[in-house]
Amino acid sequence: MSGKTDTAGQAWIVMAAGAVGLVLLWRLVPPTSPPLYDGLCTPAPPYRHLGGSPPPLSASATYFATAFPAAEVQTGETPPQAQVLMMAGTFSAPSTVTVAVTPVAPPAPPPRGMLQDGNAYRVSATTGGQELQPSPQNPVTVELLGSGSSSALVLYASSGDGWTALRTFNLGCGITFEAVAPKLGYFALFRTAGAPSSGGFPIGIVVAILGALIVIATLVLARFAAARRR
Amino acid sequence: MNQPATRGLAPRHVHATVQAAVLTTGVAAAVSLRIAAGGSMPAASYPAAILFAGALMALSFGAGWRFTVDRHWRGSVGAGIAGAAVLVLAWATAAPHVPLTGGQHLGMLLVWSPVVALVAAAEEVALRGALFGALLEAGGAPLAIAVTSVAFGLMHVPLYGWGALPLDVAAGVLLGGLRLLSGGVAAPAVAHVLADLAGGWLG
Repeated sequence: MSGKTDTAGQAWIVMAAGAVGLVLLWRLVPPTSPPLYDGLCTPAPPYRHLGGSPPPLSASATYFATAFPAAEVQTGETPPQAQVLMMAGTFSAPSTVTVAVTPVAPPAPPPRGMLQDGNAYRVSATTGGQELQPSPQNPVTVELLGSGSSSALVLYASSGDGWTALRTFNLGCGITFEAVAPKLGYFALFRTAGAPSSGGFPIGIVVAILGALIVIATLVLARFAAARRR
Repeated sequence: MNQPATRGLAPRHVHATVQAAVLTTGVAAAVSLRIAAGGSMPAASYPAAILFAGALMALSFGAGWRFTVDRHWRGSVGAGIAGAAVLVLAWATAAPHVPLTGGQHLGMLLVWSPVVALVAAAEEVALRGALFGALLEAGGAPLAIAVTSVAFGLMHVPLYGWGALPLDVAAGVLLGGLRLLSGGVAAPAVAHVLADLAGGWLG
């Protein structure tokens, strides 16, 4: 009886520790990272390419800039193909600020040795017809969805003349990529040219070897289980 | 003359330790199989997920785990539902908004849900069922909780990146506590399945 009580007590302490850890960690991780605890990622619908049908969507939102709020502007696809996350105070202006995310033709050729993946997007903030840039203390975060052909993509920024690589994070399901951008402008994902988007590796052999390893492990476990029953 | 490393351990403990080591290796191989079979998007591949679940179930059955229904099953299911509520609330209270998924995703979710439930249940059978049982025998509850929680976190890193590790380890601790409290795999399995489904339907 005492042993059972001890185990129950241990279990409650362990569960409380897990629950407190979860509550704290969810407040620290980026809002879009990983799926709840695991589970499959929901497959994204086909990527909408500029000039294709259906076309990719744009997005814009207007805010009072005297007290610019924490906000995000995202295009209307599910999941959004492009979004920009802003902190409170990112822009300051006497009236309103309109933040827009628009799919555009790439403003410059791809960086050497790179291939563009998906659309280029222009992210802008305007007030009274004048372009704004985020305050140095509050850079924006840009998130772009990959087309699904590769999970090794890098987010690049451009002000119209060439591209600059940003420090890119792969979010959750390996299809969305994020980078902090100190300036607005053009953004696009690129992958190394020549790097196979998929295949090119003897996957069949790897799968067969791993399958054989699992079968062997299962047989070893079954022998152990049988020996213990005797 | 060197003594065997297992000197002083009862054979049951030795067996359990070896069983846990083989199971852990098998689970690592199952994760690798999922990644290899999943193409460029392993986290979204249904065939890879089903293959992964099948591998975990085979390992668990090989290790002697069997599905049983005891007279406390209602309590276990209740504990699982409460555990799921904690897992979901921890997420929902941190998210600024939890929009319901639009109707355009309904068909996708109807296919997605059973696959997710299968994977979550298989993970629980392998980790909180077979592996937890072996570790409990090999080194007691603290070892079982620690190893299964870390394994739970690590097995998701190749799919969702290192950002998933702390959250999944913490979730593993909670699920391990449910396993310890209920004495079976039903409670953590119910909690895990419901929490994962909530991620798709609410997120």
